Amino acid sequence: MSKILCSRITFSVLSVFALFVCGARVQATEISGTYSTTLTIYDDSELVGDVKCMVSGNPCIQFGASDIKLRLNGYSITEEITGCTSGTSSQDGIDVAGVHDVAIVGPGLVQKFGGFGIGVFGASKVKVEEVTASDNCFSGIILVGSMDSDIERNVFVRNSSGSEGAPCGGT
Amino acid sequence: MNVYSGNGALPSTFSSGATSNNFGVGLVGTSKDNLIEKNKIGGNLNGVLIMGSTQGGNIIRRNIIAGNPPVQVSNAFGASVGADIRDLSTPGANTFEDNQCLTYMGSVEPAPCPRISKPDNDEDRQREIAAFGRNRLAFPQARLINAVFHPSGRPLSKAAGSEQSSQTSDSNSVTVIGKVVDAACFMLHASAATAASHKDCGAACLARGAPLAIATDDGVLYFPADGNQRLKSLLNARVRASGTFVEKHDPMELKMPVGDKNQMVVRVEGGYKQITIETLTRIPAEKR
Repeated sequence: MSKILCSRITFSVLSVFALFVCGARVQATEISGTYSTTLTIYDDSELVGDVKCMVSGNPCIQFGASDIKLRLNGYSITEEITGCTSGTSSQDGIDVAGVHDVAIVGPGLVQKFGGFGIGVFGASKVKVEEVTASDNCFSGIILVGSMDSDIERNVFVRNSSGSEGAPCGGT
Repeated sequence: MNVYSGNGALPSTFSSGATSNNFGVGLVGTSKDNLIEKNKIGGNLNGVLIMGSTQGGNIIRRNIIAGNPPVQVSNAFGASVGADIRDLSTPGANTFEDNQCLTYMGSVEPAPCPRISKPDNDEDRQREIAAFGRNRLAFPQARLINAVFHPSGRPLSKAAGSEQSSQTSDSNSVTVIGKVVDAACFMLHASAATAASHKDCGAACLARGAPLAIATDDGVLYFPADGNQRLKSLLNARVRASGTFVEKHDPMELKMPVGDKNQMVVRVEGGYKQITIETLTRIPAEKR
Protein backbone atom coordinates (compact mmCIF):
# COMPACT_ATOMS: atom_id res chain seq x y z
CA MET A 1 0.00 0.00 0.00
CA SER A 2 2.88 2.32 0.74
CA LYS A 3 4.18 1.53 -2.68
CA ILE A 4 0.95 2.67 -4.18
CA LEU A 5 1.12 5.91 -2.26
CA CYS A 6 4.75 6.49 -3.11
CA SER A 7 4.04 5.92 -6.79
CA ARG A 8 1.17 8.29 -6.52
CA ILE A 9 3.33 10.98 -4.93
CA THR A 10 6.11 10.57 -7.47
CA PHE A 11 3.59 10.88 -10.21
CA SER A 12 2.16 14.00 -8.64
CA VAL A 13 5.53 15.68 -8.37
CA LEU A 14 6.35 14.85 -11.95
CA SER A 15 3.00 16.23 -12.98
CA VAL A 16 3.68 19.47 -11.18
CA PHE A 17 6.99 19.96 -12.97
CA ALA A 18 5.36 19.17 -16.27
CA LEU A 19 2.71 21.76 -15.61
CA PHE A 20 5.24 24.49 -15.06
CA VAL A 21 6.09 23.98 -18.69
CA CYS A 22 2.70 23.17 -20.12
CA GLY A 23 0.19 24.95 -17.87
CA ALA A 24 -1.41 28.25 -18.69
CA ARG A 25 0.38 31.16 -17.01
CA VAL A 26 -1.99 33.82 -15.81
CA GLN A 27 -1.68 36.78 -13.49
CA ALA A 28 -4.93 35.75 -11.93
CA THR A 29 -6.73 37.92 -9.50
CA GLU A 30 -10.31 36.86 -10.12
CA ILE A 31 -11.28 33.27 -10.78
CA SER A 32 -14.58 31.72 -11.82
CA GLY A 33 -16.08 29.53 -14.52
CA THR A 34 -14.96 26.29 -16.12
CA TYR A 35 -11.33 25.25 -16.58
CA SER A 36 -10.10 22.50 -18.85
CA THR A 37 -6.39 23.14 -18.26
CA THR A 38 -4.57 23.78 -15.01
CA LEU A 39 -4.75 27.32 -13.75
CA THR A 40 -1.45 28.44 -12.21
CA ILE A 41 -1.60 31.50 -10.00
CA TYR A 42 1.36 33.81 -9.44
CA ASP A 43 -0.32 36.59 -7.49
CA ASP A 44 -2.90 36.96 -4.81
CA SER A 45 -6.07 35.53 -6.30
CA GLU A 46 -9.65 35.04 -5.35
CA LEU A 47 -12.73 33.23 -6.48
CA VAL A 48 -15.50 35.48 -7.68
CA GLY A 49 -17.78 32.61 -8.63
CA ASP A 50 -17.98 28.85 -8.52
CA VAL A 51 -15.28 27.01 -10.42
CA LYS A 52 -15.82 23.83 -12.41
CA CYS A 53 -12.84 21.73 -13.40
CA MET A 54 -12.46 19.39 -16.33
CA VAL A 55 -8.71 18.98 -16.17
CA SER A 56 -7.86 15.41 -16.98
CA GLY A 57 -4.83 13.97 -15.23
CA ASN A 58 -3.70 17.24 -13.61
CA PRO A 59 -4.69 19.57 -10.76
CA CYS A 60 -7.30 22.22 -11.31
CA ILE A 61 -5.46 25.11 -9.63
CA GLN A 62 -1.85 25.27 -8.57
CA PHE A 63 0.37 27.79 -6.88
CA GLY A 64 3.18 29.11 -9.05
CA ALA A 65 4.80 31.50 -6.61
CA SER A 66 5.55 32.00 -2.94
CA ASP A 67 4.07 34.68 -0.70
CA ILE A 68 0.62 34.69 -2.27
CA LYS A 69 -2.92 33.86 -1.16
CA LEU A 70 -5.88 32.20 -2.77
CA ARG A 71 -9.17 33.34 -1.28
CA LEU A 72 -12.18 31.16 -1.92
CA ASN A 73 -14.73 33.76 -0.81
CA GLY A 74 -17.41 31.19 -0.08
CA TYR A 75 -17.39 29.64 -3.54
CA SER A 76 -16.79 26.05 -4.57
CA ILE A 77 -14.26 24.28 -6.74
CA THR A 78 -15.80 21.14 -8.18
CA GLU A 79 -14.46 18.50 -10.51
CA GLU A 80 -16.81 17.58 -13.28
CA ILE A 81 -15.00 14.40 -14.26
CA THR A 82 -16.56 11.62 -12.23
CA GLY A 83 -15.08 8.42 -10.89
CA CYS A 84 -12.22 7.30 -8.70
CA THR A 85 -9.52 5.30 -10.43
CA SER A 86 -5.76 5.24 -10.50
CA GLY A 87 -6.09 7.33 -13.63
CA THR A 88 -7.79 10.16 -11.74
CA SER A 89 -5.33 10.21 -8.85
CA SER A 90 -3.50 13.33 -10.04
CA GLN A 91 -6.63 15.34 -10.48
CA ASP A 92 -6.31 17.40 -7.33
CA GLY A 93 -8.39 20.44 -6.54
CA ILE A 94 -5.52 22.71 -5.50
CA ASP A 95 -1.83 21.83 -5.51
CA VAL A 96 0.83 23.66 -3.54
CA ALA A 97 4.28 22.42 -4.51
CA GLY A 98 7.75 23.76 -3.77
CA VAL A 99 6.63 27.17 -2.53
CA HIS A 100 6.54 28.86 0.86
CA ASP A 101 4.41 31.33 2.79
CA VAL A 102 1.22 30.77 0.85
CA ALA A 103 -2.35 30.53 2.04
CA ILE A 104 -5.65 29.07 0.97
CA VAL A 105 -8.30 31.01 2.80
CA GLY A 106 -11.93 30.00 3.05
CA PRO A 107 -14.71 29.73 3.52
CA GLY A 108 -14.98 27.62 0.45
CA LEU A 109 -15.57 24.11 -0.80
CA VAL A 110 -13.20 21.82 -2.68
CA GLN A 111 -15.06 18.75 -3.77
CA LYS A 112 -15.34 15.62 -5.89
CA PHE A 113 -11.79 15.49 -7.16
CA GLY A 114 -10.29 12.28 -8.46
CA GLY A 115 -7.15 12.91 -6.41
CA PHE A 116 -6.68 15.01 -3.29
CA GLY A 117 -8.81 18.01 -2.46
CA ILE A 118 -5.65 19.94 -1.62
CA GLY A 119 -2.14 18.59 -2.10
CA VAL A 120 0.83 20.18 -0.36
CA PHE A 121 4.13 18.81 -1.63
CA GLY A 122 7.56 19.97 -0.55
CA ALA A 123 6.24 23.31 0.64
CA SER A 124 6.67 25.28 3.83
CA LYS A 125 4.58 27.67 5.88
CA VAL A 126 1.38 26.84 4.11
CA LYS A 127 -1.81 28.00 5.79
CA VAL A 128 -5.15 26.40 4.97
CA GLU A 129 -8.08 27.73 6.92
CA GLU A 130 -11.87 27.52 6.85
CA VAL A 131 -11.90 25.23 3.84
CA THR A 132 -14.30 22.34 3.45
CA ALA A 133 -12.93 19.40 1.49
CA SER A 134 -15.57 16.85 0.62
CA ASP A 135 -16.06 13.74 -1.48
CA ASN A 136 -12.57 13.62 -2.90
CA CYS A 137 -11.28 10.22 -4.02
CA PHE A 138 -8.08 10.40 -1.99
CA SER A 139 -7.48 12.67 1.04
CA GLY A 140 -9.18 15.97 1.74
CA ILE A 141 -5.75 17.47 2.18
CA ILE A 142 -2.37 15.80 2.15
CA LEU A 143 0.96 17.18 3.25
CA VAL A 144 4.03 15.42 1.89
CA GLY A 145 7.56 16.57 2.65
CA SER A 146 6.22 19.87 3.93
CA MET A 147 6.90 21.76 7.13
CA ASP A 148 5.67 24.54 9.43
CA SER A 149 2.18 24.54 8.00
CA ASP A 150 -1.06 25.51 9.76
CA ILE A 151 -4.24 23.63 8.99
CA GLU A 152 -6.93 25.35 11.00
CA ARG A 153 -10.71 25.51 11.23
CA ASN A 154 -11.31 23.27 8.25
CA VAL A 155 -13.92 20.59 7.68
CA PHE A 156 -13.04 17.28 6.03
CA VAL A 157 -15.94 14.99 5.21
CA ARG A 158 -16.48 11.93 3.07
CA ASN A 159 -13.03 11.88 1.54
CA SER A 160 -11.04 8.83 0.53
CA SER A 161 -14.03 7.39 -1.21
CA GLY A 162 -11.81 5.52 -3.66
CA SER A 163 -8.21 5.61 -2.57
CA GLU A 164 -7.36 2.31 -4.19
CA GLY A 165 -5.96 0.86 -0.97
CA ALA A 166 -3.67 3.82 -0.19
CA PRO A 167 -3.76 5.26 3.33
CA CYS A 168 -5.92 8.33 2.88
CA GLY A 169 -8.56 10.27 4.73
CA GLY A 170 -9.28 13.80 5.94
CA THR A 171 -5.73 15.06 6.44
CA MET B 1 -9.93 23.25 15.29
CA ASN B 2 -10.75 21.14 12.27
CA VAL B 3 -13.68 18.78 11.85
CA TYR B 4 -13.17 15.35 10.28
CA SER B 5 -16.24 13.28 9.56
CA GLY B 6 -17.09 10.30 7.43
CA ASN B 7 -13.74 9.94 5.71
CA GLY B 8 -12.63 6.61 4.32
CA ALA B 9 -14.14 3.81 2.33
CA LEU B 10 -13.49 0.13 2.07
CA PRO B 11 -12.39 -1.20 -1.30
CA SER B 12 -14.30 -4.00 -2.92
CA THR B 13 -11.44 -6.34 -2.14
CA PHE B 14 -11.73 -5.69 1.58
CA SER B 15 -12.35 -8.79 3.62
CA SER B 16 -14.22 -8.99 6.88
CA GLY B 17 -11.89 -9.02 9.88
CA ALA B 18 -9.16 -7.03 8.16
CA THR B 19 -8.01 -3.56 9.16
CA SER B 20 -8.55 -0.47 7.07
CA ASN B 21 -5.95 2.24 6.46
CA ASN B 22 -8.23 5.20 5.81
CA PHE B 23 -8.57 7.89 8.44
CA GLY B 24 -9.78 11.25 9.59
CA VAL B 25 -6.26 12.42 10.43
CA GLY B 26 -3.32 10.35 9.24
CA LEU B 27 0.37 10.53 9.98
CA VAL B 28 1.99 8.59 7.19
CA GLY B 29 5.37 8.34 5.57
CA THR B 30 8.10 9.89 7.74
CA SER B 31 5.92 12.43 9.49
CA LYS B 32 7.43 13.93 12.62
CA ASP B 33 6.99 16.73 15.12
CA ASN B 34 3.40 17.52 14.14
CA LEU B 35 0.80 18.91 16.51
CA ILE B 36 -2.75 17.56 16.14
CA GLU B 37 -4.78 19.58 18.59
CA LYS B 38 -8.39 20.40 19.40
CA ASN B 39 -10.01 18.69 16.45
CA LYS B 40 -13.32 16.86 16.24
CA ILE B 41 -12.89 13.52 14.55
CA GLY B 42 -15.82 11.15 14.15
CA GLY B 43 -17.38 8.71 11.73
CA ASN B 44 -14.17 7.96 9.86
CA LEU B 45 -12.82 4.45 9.30
CA ASN B 46 -10.01 5.32 11.70
CA GLY B 47 -10.09 8.55 13.66
CA VAL B 48 -6.34 9.09 13.91
CA LEU B 49 -4.05 6.68 12.09
CA ILE B 50 -0.33 6.71 12.81
CA MET B 51 1.69 4.54 10.50
CA GLY B 52 4.74 2.65 11.71
CA SER B 53 7.00 4.59 9.39
CA THR B 54 6.53 7.89 11.20
CA GLN B 55 9.61 9.31 12.90
CA GLY B 56 7.93 10.29 16.13
CA GLY B 57 7.68 13.50 18.08
CA ASN B 58 4.06 13.95 17.06
CA ILE B 59 1.69 15.25 19.70
CA ILE B 60 -1.98 14.35 19.60
CA ARG B 61 -3.83 16.23 22.30
CA ARG B 62 -7.17 17.67 23.33
CA ASN B 63 -9.03 16.16 20.43
CA ILE B 64 -12.49 14.66 20.55
CA ILE B 65 -12.18 11.37 18.71
CA ALA B 66 -15.26 9.17 18.80
CA GLY B 67 -17.47 7.06 16.60
CA ASN B 68 -14.64 5.77 14.45
CA PRO B 69 -15.54 3.66 12.57
CA PRO B 70 -19.32 4.05 12.33
CA VAL B 71 -21.11 1.24 14.11
CA GLN B 72 -22.59 -0.14 10.92
CA VAL B 73 -19.09 -0.60 9.54
CA SER B 74 -18.03 -2.40 12.72
CA ASN B 75 -21.07 -4.62 12.54
CA ALA B 76 -20.42 -5.52 8.93
CA PHE B 77 -16.66 -5.97 9.02
CA GLY B 78 -15.78 -6.64 12.66
CA ALA B 79 -14.42 -4.54 15.49
CA SER B 80 -10.89 -4.69 14.13
CA VAL B 81 -11.73 -2.69 11.04
CA GLY B 82 -10.71 0.56 12.72
CA ALA B 83 -10.53 2.57 15.93
CA ASP B 84 -10.64 6.08 17.26
CA ILE B 85 -6.86 5.95 17.47
CA ARG B 86 -4.96 3.32 15.53
CA ASP B 87 -1.29 3.55 16.40
CA LEU B 88 1.27 1.49 14.55
CA SER B 89 4.24 3.50 15.76
CA THR B 90 6.81 2.55 18.36
CA PRO B 91 5.47 3.00 21.90
CA GLY B 92 6.66 6.29 23.32
CA ALA B 93 7.55 7.77 19.97
CA ASN B 94 4.46 9.96 19.93
CA THR B 95 2.51 11.68 22.69
CA PHE B 96 -1.18 11.39 23.47
CA GLU B 97 -2.57 13.93 25.93
CA ASP B 98 -6.05 14.73 27.12
CA ASN B 99 -7.92 13.35 24.15
CA GLN B 100 -11.49 12.24 24.60
CA CYS B 101 -11.70 8.91 22.86
CA LEU B 102 -13.09 5.42 23.31
CA THR B 103 -11.18 2.88 21.26
CA TYR B 104 -7.47 2.39 20.74
CA MET B 105 -5.52 -0.10 18.66
CA GLY B 106 -1.83 0.01 19.42
CA SER B 107 0.82 -0.94 21.93
CA VAL B 108 1.10 2.12 24.15
CA GLU B 109 0.58 1.28 27.83
CA PRO B 110 -1.53 2.50 29.43
CA ALA B 111 -3.69 2.91 26.39
CA PRO B 112 -4.74 6.51 25.69
CA CYS B 113 -8.32 5.34 25.16
CA PRO B 114 -10.90 4.94 26.52
CA ARG B 115 -10.66 8.29 28.15
CA ILE B 116 -13.37 10.77 28.93
CA SER B 117 -11.83 13.79 30.57
CA LYS B 118 -13.32 15.28 33.65
CA PRO B 119 -14.57 18.79 33.03
CA ASP B 120 -12.98 19.99 36.26
CA ASN B 121 -9.62 18.95 34.93
CA ASP B 122 -10.09 20.54 31.58
CA GLU B 123 -7.81 23.52 31.28
CA ASP B 124 -10.04 25.38 28.85
CA ARG B 125 -13.03 24.92 31.06
CA GLN B 126 -11.10 26.21 34.03
CA ARG B 127 -10.09 29.24 32.00
CA GLU B 128 -13.69 29.84 31.01
CA ILE B 129 -14.85 29.58 34.59
CA ALA B 130 -12.14 31.95 35.76
CA ALA B 131 -12.96 34.40 32.98
CA PHE B 132 -16.62 34.16 33.86
CA GLY B 133 -15.82 35.03 37.42
CA ARG B 134 -13.57 37.90 36.45
CA ASN B 135 -16.07 39.41 34.08
CA ARG B 136 -18.98 39.01 36.39
CA LEU B 137 -17.25 40.48 39.36
CA ALA B 138 -14.99 42.93 37.55
CA PHE B 139 -12.23 41.78 39.84
CA PRO B 140 -8.68 40.95 38.85
CA GLN B 141 -7.69 37.32 38.73
CA ALA B 142 -7.10 35.95 42.17
CA ARG B 143 -7.28 32.74 44.05
CA LEU B 144 -9.05 34.47 46.88
CA ILE B 145 -10.73 37.77 46.51
CA ASN B 146 -11.57 39.91 49.48
CA ALA B 147 -13.76 42.94 49.48
CA VAL B 148 -14.91 45.12 52.30
CA PHE B 149 -18.37 46.55 52.18
CA HIS B 150 -19.70 49.45 54.19
CA PRO B 151 -23.46 49.72 53.91
CA SER B 152 -24.39 52.77 51.89
CA GLY B 153 -28.12 52.57 52.34
CA ARG B 154 -29.78 53.80 55.45
CA PRO B 155 -27.11 54.69 58.02
CA LEU B 156 -26.97 52.49 61.01
CA SER B 157 -27.57 53.90 64.42
CA LYS B 158 -24.31 52.43 65.63
CA ALA B 159 -21.13 53.62 64.03
CA ALA B 160 -18.79 51.25 62.30
CA GLY B 161 -15.88 50.24 64.46
CA SER B 162 -17.98 50.38 67.57
CA GLU B 163 -16.66 48.51 70.53
CA GLN B 164 -19.93 46.67 70.70
CA SER B 165 -19.90 43.22 69.30
CA SER B 166 -22.66 40.79 68.57
CA GLN B 167 -25.07 42.96 70.37
CA THR B 168 -28.64 43.58 69.36
CA SER B 169 -29.31 47.25 69.57
CA ASP B 170 -33.07 47.08 69.35
CA SER B 171 -35.85 44.95 68.00
CA ASN B 172 -38.73 46.22 65.84
CA SER B 173 -41.58 44.95 63.78
CA VAL B 174 -41.06 45.60 60.13
CA THR B 175 -42.55 44.90 56.74
CA VAL B 176 -39.97 44.87 53.99
CA ILE B 177 -40.68 45.01 50.27
CA GLY B 178 -37.85 44.22 47.94
CA LYS B 179 -36.12 41.77 45.67
CA VAL B 180 -34.42 38.57 46.72
CA VAL B 181 -30.80 38.87 45.65
CA ASP B 182 -27.44 37.18 45.86
CA ALA B 183 -26.18 39.41 48.66
CA ALA B 184 -22.47 39.41 47.99
CA CYS B 185 -22.95 40.20 44.33
CA PHE B 186 -25.50 42.90 45.15
CA MET B 187 -23.03 44.67 47.39
CA LEU B 188 -20.44 44.78 44.67
CA HIS B 189 -22.60 45.57 41.71
CA ALA B 190 -26.21 46.17 42.57
CA SER B 191 -27.46 46.78 39.04
CA ALA B 192 -25.87 43.59 37.74
CA ALA B 193 -27.16 41.50 40.62
CA THR B 194 -30.75 42.53 40.01
CA ALA B 195 -30.64 42.18 36.24
CA ALA B 196 -32.53 39.33 34.59
CA SER B 197 -29.29 38.21 32.98
CA HIS B 198 -27.88 37.49 36.43
CA LYS B 199 -30.58 34.97 37.25
CA ASP B 200 -28.70 31.85 36.20
CA CYS B 201 -25.53 33.13 37.76
CA GLY B 202 -27.27 33.89 41.02
CA ALA B 203 -28.86 30.46 41.03
CA ALA B 204 -25.45 28.86 40.60
CA CYS B 205 -24.10 30.87 43.54
CA LEU B 206 -27.12 29.96 45.61
CA ALA B 207 -26.55 26.29 44.91
CA ARG B 208 -23.10 26.67 46.39
CA GLY B 209 -24.32 28.36 49.52
CA ALA B 210 -24.03 32.04 48.68
CA PRO B 211 -26.20 34.03 51.12
CA LEU B 212 -29.42 35.62 49.98
CA ALA B 213 -31.02 38.81 51.23
CA ILE B 214 -33.94 41.05 50.50
CA ALA B 215 -32.83 44.27 48.81
CA THR B 216 -35.25 47.15 49.26
CA ASP B 217 -35.69 49.79 46.61
CA ASP B 218 -33.43 52.16 48.51
CA GLY B 219 -30.65 49.62 48.59
CA VAL B 220 -30.93 48.32 52.14
CA LEU B 221 -30.27 44.63 52.61
CA TYR B 222 -32.18 42.49 55.08
CA PHE B 223 -30.56 39.17 55.83
CA PRO B 224 -32.91 36.41 56.95
CA ALA B 225 -32.14 35.07 60.40
CA ASP B 226 -32.78 31.51 59.30
CA GLY B 227 -30.45 31.58 56.30
CA ASN B 228 -31.49 30.89 52.74
CA GLN B 229 -34.15 28.32 53.51
CA ARG B 230 -37.21 30.48 52.98
CA LEU B 231 -35.82 32.69 50.25
CA LYS B 232 -34.11 30.19 48.01
CA SER B 233 -37.20 29.49 45.92
CA LEU B 234 -37.72 33.21 45.44
CA LEU B 235 -34.37 34.28 43.98
CA ASN B 236 -34.89 37.38 41.82
CA ALA B 237 -38.54 37.60 42.86
CA ARG B 238 -40.05 40.64 44.45
CA VAL B 239 -41.38 39.82 47.92
CA ARG B 240 -43.08 41.26 50.95
CA ALA B 241 -41.63 40.03 54.24
CA SER B 242 -42.98 40.81 57.66
CA GLY B 243 -41.36 40.07 60.98
CA THR B 244 -38.93 41.60 63.37
CA PHE B 245 -35.55 42.98 62.58
CA VAL B 246 -32.46 43.64 64.58
CA GLU B 247 -29.36 45.60 63.77
CA LYS B 248 -26.23 43.53 64.13
CA HIS B 249 -22.94 45.25 64.65
CA ASP B 250 -20.40 42.51 64.36
CA PRO B 251 -18.68 42.16 61.00
CA MET B 252 -20.11 39.55 58.70
CA GLU B 253 -18.34 37.63 55.97
CA LEU B 254 -20.23 36.54 52.89
CA LYS B 255 -18.53 33.84 50.87
CA MET B 256 -19.25 33.41 47.23
CA PRO B 257 -17.74 30.78 44.91
CA VAL B 258 -15.83 31.89 41.84
CA GLY B 259 -15.42 28.87 39.62
CA ASP B 260 -14.86 25.57 41.34
CA LYS B 261 -11.74 26.44 43.24
CA ASN B 262 -11.80 30.14 43.94
CA GLN B 263 -13.76 32.01 46.50
CA MET B 264 -14.65 35.60 47.00
CA VAL B 265 -15.19 36.91 50.50
CA VAL B 266 -17.13 40.10 51.05
CA ARG B 267 -16.66 41.47 54.51
CA VAL B 268 -19.49 43.64 55.75
CA GLU B 269 -18.38 46.16 58.31
CA GLY B 270 -20.45 48.71 60.15
CA GLY B 271 -23.42 46.49 60.83
CA TYR B 272 -26.28 45.02 58.93
CA LYS B 273 -29.96 44.26 59.34
CA GLN B 274 -31.23 40.82 60.16
CA ILE B 275 -34.87 39.95 59.79
CA THR B 276 -36.73 37.12 61.43
CA ILE B 277 -39.37 36.44 58.85
CA GLU B 278 -42.85 35.63 60.07
CA THR B 279 -44.77 36.02 56.82
CA LEU B 280 -43.33 35.97 53.35
CA THR B 281 -45.24 36.47 50.11
CA ARG B 282 -44.21 36.83 46.51
CA ILE B 283 -45.52 39.97 44.86
CA PRO B 284 -46.93 39.01 41.47
CA ALA B 285 -45.37 40.80 38.52
CA GLU B 286 -48.55 42.62 37.52
CA LYS B 287 -48.82 44.27 40.91
CA ARG B 288 -45.30 45.66 40.90
